[in-house]
Amino acid sequence: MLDTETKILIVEDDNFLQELAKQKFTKEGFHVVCAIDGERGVALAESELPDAILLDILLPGIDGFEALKRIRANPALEKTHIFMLSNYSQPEERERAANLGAEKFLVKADFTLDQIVDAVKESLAKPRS
Amino acid sequence: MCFWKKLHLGVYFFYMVAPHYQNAQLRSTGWVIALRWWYVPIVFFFGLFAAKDIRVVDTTALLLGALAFVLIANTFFFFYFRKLSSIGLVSENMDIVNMCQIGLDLAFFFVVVLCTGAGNTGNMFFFLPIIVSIFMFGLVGAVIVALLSGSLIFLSALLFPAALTLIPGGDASIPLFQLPTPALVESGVTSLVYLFVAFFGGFVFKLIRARDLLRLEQTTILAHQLRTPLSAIKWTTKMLLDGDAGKNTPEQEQLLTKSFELSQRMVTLVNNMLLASRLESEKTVYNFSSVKFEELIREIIGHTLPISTKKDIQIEFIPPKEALPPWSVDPDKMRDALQNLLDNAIKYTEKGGKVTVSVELEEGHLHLVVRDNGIGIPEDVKEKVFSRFFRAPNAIAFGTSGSGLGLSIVQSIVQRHGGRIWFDDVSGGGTAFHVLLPFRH
Repeated sequence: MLDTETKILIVEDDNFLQELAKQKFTKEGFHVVCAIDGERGVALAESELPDAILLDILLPGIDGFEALKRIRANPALEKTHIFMLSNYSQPEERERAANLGAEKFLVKADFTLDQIVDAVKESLAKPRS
Repeated sequence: MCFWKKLHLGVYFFYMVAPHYQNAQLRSTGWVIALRWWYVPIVFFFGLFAAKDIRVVDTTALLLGALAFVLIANTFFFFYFRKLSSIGLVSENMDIVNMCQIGLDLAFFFVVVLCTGAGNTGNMFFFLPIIVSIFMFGLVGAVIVALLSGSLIFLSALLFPAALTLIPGGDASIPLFQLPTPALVESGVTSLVYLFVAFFGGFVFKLIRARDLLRLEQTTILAHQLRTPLSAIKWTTKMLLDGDAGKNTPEQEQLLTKSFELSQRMVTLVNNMLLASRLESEKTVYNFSSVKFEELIREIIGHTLPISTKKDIQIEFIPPKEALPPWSVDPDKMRDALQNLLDNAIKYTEKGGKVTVSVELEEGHLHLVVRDNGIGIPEDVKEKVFSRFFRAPNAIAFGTSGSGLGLSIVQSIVQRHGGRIWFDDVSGGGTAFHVLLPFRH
């Protein structure tokens, strides 16, 4: 099914949502690492080199866009798939995320966790060129 | 038939330019253009009756010329406004149109005041552009227009006696500007009143506007805030339902399913709140692109199949007799609009009912009809159907949930495409919603 070494980083400041996502992704066979703010998210991305990152936008300290920019600037993380997972949903935000190199823009309230897992798996099946 | 269509277009020309645009700027601009058809002729007739003999020019000819000029300019405004309101970018170009409108009114009233003698009833007309500018440009704009109006009145008080005295005696020794005449003093007072109205009105308007903006902002923040706990509820319920925390008994599953549906309903409500407040705010930009409209409709019908099948409602699509050319719309917004119309039709139709969607090309317009044989709209609430948060009593009694935002969203989207939406009763019960969109490449 899934390579057990598939590593995913979840950057989410809401403890409960983070815990739920962690549970779900662990159950689906991912190796999950979590960060509660942007700075720690970027640091973890650089040390752990995950295959995928779920990134919230509204975060304490640097926001998701800034974190996205920093992660995308790192050549070591070139192959990492980055997904925005936020409750923002305005077209400007979607466009900004896409321009900065996010692969998908998932609105938390519009998805359930299994749909999010599916979306992530679908993208992971196609390696980033 | 042809006559009625023409009559309809005529009525549209004079009245319908100012339907209930939800966007404040569109609404006020539309209203001013529509009102001008009325106040300009009234002011013209006033000028004609009250005209004093100036001798320098033929006042009747001057007034007629001014009237013709204003009417032609307003026709231009009308079409330009329709074009602008059908394009996404409103504010910048609309400001220029509005400045031209106010300039035009000022010039016209100046001509009338000049023809009827300074310092009389004619001065009152200048309140119109001042009040209009309060709505269009706010405090600063209104003060500028008030100052302009004041100077025009002053100028007319200077010019009018000059025009009277210049010709008759042919006596060049009479000084042109005799200061201070009563007319000049009066025009000074009038200018002060203009300024007062502009300041006061502008200030009140500023307060109202600030309150509206705050309300919109609050709605947006509230909706975003609601989404986080909502996501948590939705995620957990789904996890429980999927048995992630252990197997459920049938009763548990039934309750969880209900709970999940409700969380989903709440998400829809919050999304609609966000969408409605966003559409109302002036920043919404529409991104137009060419689409195959027929495919768009089929796609939306496809989306609604799960609900309609569940309710055993048959959805029939009647394709157009002649193929539709590619139509320029904002595809995302148009999808929202069509989805809302179809959802409504299904929602307010009994089990086993039927919904018909048809689209036709009519004289360069796209005419879409969504017809149902549902519960219909009672006569006494027909006027309120497009207002935000309004739900008809029979719709509430029908036991369905809804936010009362759907149709106001649809209307806003259709209008920003330069189109029109209305509805009529279907004989034997039910409602047909019509959308008429002008052709855009």
